[in-house]
Amino acid sequence: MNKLFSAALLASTLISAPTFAQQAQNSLTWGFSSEIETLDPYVTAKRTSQLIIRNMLENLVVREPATGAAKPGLATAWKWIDPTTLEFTLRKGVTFHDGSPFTADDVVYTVNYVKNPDTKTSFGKADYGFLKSAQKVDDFTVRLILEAPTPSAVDQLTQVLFILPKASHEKLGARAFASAPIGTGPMKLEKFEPGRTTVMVKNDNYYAADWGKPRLNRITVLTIADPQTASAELSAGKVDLLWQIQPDQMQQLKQSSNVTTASGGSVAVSFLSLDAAGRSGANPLQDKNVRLAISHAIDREAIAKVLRGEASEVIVSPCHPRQFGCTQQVTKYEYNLAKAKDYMAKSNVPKNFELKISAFTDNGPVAEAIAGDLRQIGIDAKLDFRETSAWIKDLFAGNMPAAVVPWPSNGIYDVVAINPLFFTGDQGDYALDPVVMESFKKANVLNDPDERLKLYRTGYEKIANEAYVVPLMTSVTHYAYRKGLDITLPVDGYPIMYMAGWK
Amino acid sequence: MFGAVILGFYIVIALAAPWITPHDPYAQSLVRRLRPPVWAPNGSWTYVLGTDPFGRDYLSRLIYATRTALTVAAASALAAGLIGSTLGLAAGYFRGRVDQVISLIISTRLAFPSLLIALAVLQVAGSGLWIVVVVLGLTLWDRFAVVLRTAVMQISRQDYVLAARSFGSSHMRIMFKEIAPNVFGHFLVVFSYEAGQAVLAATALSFLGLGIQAPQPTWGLMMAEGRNWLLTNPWLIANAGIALMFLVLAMNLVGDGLRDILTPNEKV
Amino acid sequence: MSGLIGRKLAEAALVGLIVSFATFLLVNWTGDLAISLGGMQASKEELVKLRAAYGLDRPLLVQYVDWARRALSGDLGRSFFSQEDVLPLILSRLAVTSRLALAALLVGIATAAPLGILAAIYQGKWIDHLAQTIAALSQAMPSFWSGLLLILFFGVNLKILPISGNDDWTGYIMPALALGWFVFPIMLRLLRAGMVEALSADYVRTARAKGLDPKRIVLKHALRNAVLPVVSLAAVQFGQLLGGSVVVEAVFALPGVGQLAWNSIQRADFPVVQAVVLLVAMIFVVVNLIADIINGVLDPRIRRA
Repeated sequence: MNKLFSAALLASTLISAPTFAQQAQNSLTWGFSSEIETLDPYVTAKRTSQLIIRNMLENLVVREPATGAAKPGLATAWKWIDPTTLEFTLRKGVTFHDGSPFTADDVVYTVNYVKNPDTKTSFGKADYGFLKSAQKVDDFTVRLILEAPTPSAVDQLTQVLFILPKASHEKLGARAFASAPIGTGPMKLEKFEPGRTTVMVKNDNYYAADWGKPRLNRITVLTIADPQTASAELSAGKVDLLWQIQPDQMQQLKQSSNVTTASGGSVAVSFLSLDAAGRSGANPLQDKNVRLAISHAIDREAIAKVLRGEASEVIVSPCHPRQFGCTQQVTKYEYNLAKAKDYMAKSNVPKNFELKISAFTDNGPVAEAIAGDLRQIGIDAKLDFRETSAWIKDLFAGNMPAAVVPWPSNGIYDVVAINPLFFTGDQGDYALDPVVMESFKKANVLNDPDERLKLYRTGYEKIANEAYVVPLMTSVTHYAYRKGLDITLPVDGYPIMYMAGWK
Repeated sequence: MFGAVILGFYIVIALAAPWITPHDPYAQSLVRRLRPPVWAPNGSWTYVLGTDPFGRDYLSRLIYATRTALTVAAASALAAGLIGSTLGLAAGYFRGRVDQVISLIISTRLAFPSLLIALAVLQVAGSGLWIVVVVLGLTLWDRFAVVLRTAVMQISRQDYVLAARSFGSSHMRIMFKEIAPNVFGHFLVVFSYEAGQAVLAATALSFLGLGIQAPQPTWGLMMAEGRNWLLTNPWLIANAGIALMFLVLAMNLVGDGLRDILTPNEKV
Repeated sequence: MSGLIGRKLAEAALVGLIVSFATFLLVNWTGDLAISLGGMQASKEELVKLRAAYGLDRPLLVQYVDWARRALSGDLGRSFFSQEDVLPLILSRLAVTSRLALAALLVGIATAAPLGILAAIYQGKWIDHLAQTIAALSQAMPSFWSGLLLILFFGVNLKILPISGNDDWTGYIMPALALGWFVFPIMLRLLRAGMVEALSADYVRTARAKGLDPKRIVLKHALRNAVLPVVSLAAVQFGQLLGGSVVVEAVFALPGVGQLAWNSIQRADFPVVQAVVLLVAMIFVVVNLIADIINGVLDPRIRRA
C-alpha cells in the first residue's frame, strides 16, 4: 500500500508541464465547495453565491481587489450631498445582456424592489437596512437616501445592491430571473444547474470598465464538496482554481509542480463566545475567574498558525484590526498555563466540569484544539459539531455555553458590521453588559469619527477586562491554482473572477 | 475460529487500554503534530504510530478508539436486537393481524432511506456516543425482525409449543420460556453481523461530520481527519482503517461461524 | 396474482403515508428554514416575516395536510431555496443516482455470480474460502475509503478515469466500483447458499442420476433456483442504494439524489427533503413489488399459491 501511495505522490509531483485544455481555450474552471442554489442575489444571503452572481450582475461601485478601495462600477462618480444623501453619476452607454440600455430607472427599480416588504429577502436589514429610498435626478443621475448617517455606505455598496434590469425583471418575475439572470456584467450566463454547475461566457458588448476588459472566454463553476476530491481534480487538471482551502490541504498541493498556492487577506475573524450572562442556564462561565483562566489557557498563537495559516494573526478585541473602531489597546491575556490554573483555583466551580464548545464547518478543528487546551486546566471540554443552520439556530436561541464564532463582517471595514449582533443585546449577545451595549449602540449611529472611536474604546475595554469572549484570530483565505493563471488576490478574501486571465 | 481470536484480541485491548497506552490519548500539542510513524523517515519510538493533526499520540488514540468501537457495536446491535426481536417474536407467534401490522412496520422501515433519516436525527439531537447508538438501533433492527419472525413461525408449529399452549400457559410464558431460547441462535448470528454494520455506519456518519464527537477517539473520526493527508501521510487514514476493517471482518467471520454451528439450515 | 398486487399497492400507500408524515415531523424539528435562508445576518423580525411568508408559522398538522393534499394531486411544491419545482429537480438527480445504483448492482452481481457459483460447486475447497474471504473483507471496508483509494489509483496515478462529476458514462465507473464493492458480499453469500441448497435438491440429484451434463445441471436447474432470492435482494439493494449513496456521491462529487437530500436537510429545505424521502420510499416499494412478480413468474410454486 505504501508503494501505491508513493507512486501516486510521485506521479502528481512529476507531471511534466502539460498543455491544459482549459488554458488553450482561455477558459477557467473554479472548484467550489458549496452549492449554488440560485442566481438571485436577493434570495441568497450567501456571499459565496453572490460571488458568482457578481460576474453577471453589477454593483454601482467595485471594490478594487488589491487595495480594497471603492472604484467606479456602474457609477462613474459619487458625492455626499448631506450625511444621509449620496448622489451617483451613472455610466452612459451601458447595456444589459438583453440589449436594453442601463439608466437611473433601473437603479430606482432595484432599490424599490429590495425595500418592498413583499420581496422575500431574508437579510434585508443587515445588507440593506442603511438604505431608505432612491430618487432619479435625471437619466444618469440618481440619489440614494439613507436611513441614518452611514459613513461606510460607499464601501457597503461595493458588496450589495446588484442592479436589475427594470423591464426584463418586471416581465420575467423574480422566479424566472433567478435561473436566467440578465445583468450588465462582463460575463453572461450560458448554463445553470442548481447545486452542480454554472457556466458563464464573455459578454462581448461589455463597456470599457475602469479595471479593463474581460480576458476569459468562459468561466465554469463546479461544485465539488469533498476537499480531497477537489485537490485531486486540481492536480489532474479538470479544475484550475480552488478557493478557501485548508492550510493542510495547501501543504499537500504545494508539492504539485503545476499548481501555485497562495494566501490572501480576509475581513473575517473568529472569537470564542462564552456564556457570561447565563443565557443557557447557570454555568461556570458566569464566574469571571473561569473566563480569565480560559483566556490564559488557550494557545491562540499555535491555533492561528496551524489551523488558519501562517498569515493568521491573534486578535485582542473581537473584531478585525483593519476595521474602523477595532481598538487593540485593551487588556491582553497571554498563553500562560500557570496563571490559568491559579484563576481556576480561585474560582468556586466544581473540578472537571463539562463544557461543550459548539462549532460548524472548518471551525470544528479550532474548537477541538481549544478543547484540548482546556483539558490541561481541568475543564472537561468537548467539541459539539453542528451543521451550519442548526448551529446558528442554537447560538441565537441562547443555548450555547461556548461557541467558536467566525464572523465575515460581509467584508465591511467598520466594526458596525460585527458588534451589533454580539454586544448590543441582540440574539448573539452572551455578555449582556449595559456599559458595552450603551456605548456600541451610540457609536454605531454617530457620524463624528473621534466620538465614535472613544465610545468603541470604552466598549472593547470593558469586554477585555471582563473577558466576556476570547478573541481568537483573523482568517486567511488560501488559494491553489494552475500555474499561469493571472489573478489578483483580494484583500477581502472574495476573488473577482472576471478580472482573471491566463498569462 | 480465526474471527473469534481477532475479536477476543480487540476485547482484551479495549479492556486493558489504560495500562497499555503509551500516552494520554487526549494530551494535545500542536507543536508535535503529524509526526510520522516509527518505520517512516524521521519516525521515533516515542510515538510508534506517529501523532495526529492535533499532536496527540496516534497509537494511544487507536487503542482507546477500540473501546468506542466495541461499545457502539455492542450497544447499537443490542438496541436494534431488542426492537427487532420483540417485533419478530410477536409477529411470528401471534400471526394474523399482529403479523400484518408488524410486517407493515418492517416494510416502512425498509422503505425509509435510513442513512438520510439518521443524518436528520443527528442534526436535531446533536451528537454523541449514545445518540449514535440510539439512531443506529432505530435503523438496524429490520434483519432481526425478519429472521426471527420466520424462525418463530417454524418453531411455534412444533409439538412442545403446541403442548404448552394446550396446557393453558400464558402467551408471555410460552414466548419467553419455550420459544425465545430456541431462536436465540438466530439472534446471535444476526447480532454479530449487525454489530459490524453498526461500526461501519458510525464511520460513515463521522465522515459526514456527524456522530460521535471529538476529542473522543474513534476510528471514524481518525479516518475522516486523516483523509486530508492521504498523499503526504497515508498512515493517518490507513492505520485506523485497518483496525476498523479487521474488527468488522472478525465480527462477520464470527457471524459465519455461529451461523454454521447454530443455524445450519439458514441461508444468510 | 392480482390479489397480491392489490394488497401490495395498498401497503405501498400506507407506507407512503407513514414515511411522509414521519419525515415531515423530523425535518420540521431539525431545521429552521428562515435561519438557513437568512443566515446569521437576519434579524428577529425578518425571521418572523420569513416564516410567515413560507407558511411555516401555521400548526404542523395543518402544514402537513396542506402538503399532502397537493402532493396527491401531483404537486410536490417548490424548493424554498432555488425556487425550482421539486419534481423535475429530484427526477434529474434521481436519474444520476439510479444509474449509479444500477451500475453498482451490475458490478456486485457480475463479481458475485461467477465466484458464488464456483464457491458452491467447490464447496469447502480453496476457491470457496477465497471467495468468502474477499466477501468478508469487502464488507469490512468503509466506502469512502475505497472511494479515495480508487481516486488515487485510477484518477491521480494512472489518470485513466475522471475523478469527479458525471460528464459522461466514465464518471460512473469509480463510484459504481466503490458501491458495488459493498453489494458484492451479500450477493455472494446469498448466491452461494442458494446454489448449495439447489445442488443438493432432489431434482438435481435425479438429473445427475439420469446422466445429464453436469454443466447443464448447474446452469439450468440449480442456477435458476438460486437466482430467485437474488432478484429479491437486488430489488432491496437497489432501493437502499438510492438513499444510501450519500457518502459515495460526496466523494466523487456526483450530483445525485443523496447529495441533494443531504444538502437540503442541512438547509432545512423541507419540500425537497420530503419529496426525496417519499419518492425513494415509493420506488423501493414498487421495485420490490416488481421483484415479487418476477419471482412469481420464475417460480411456479409461488404462482400457484
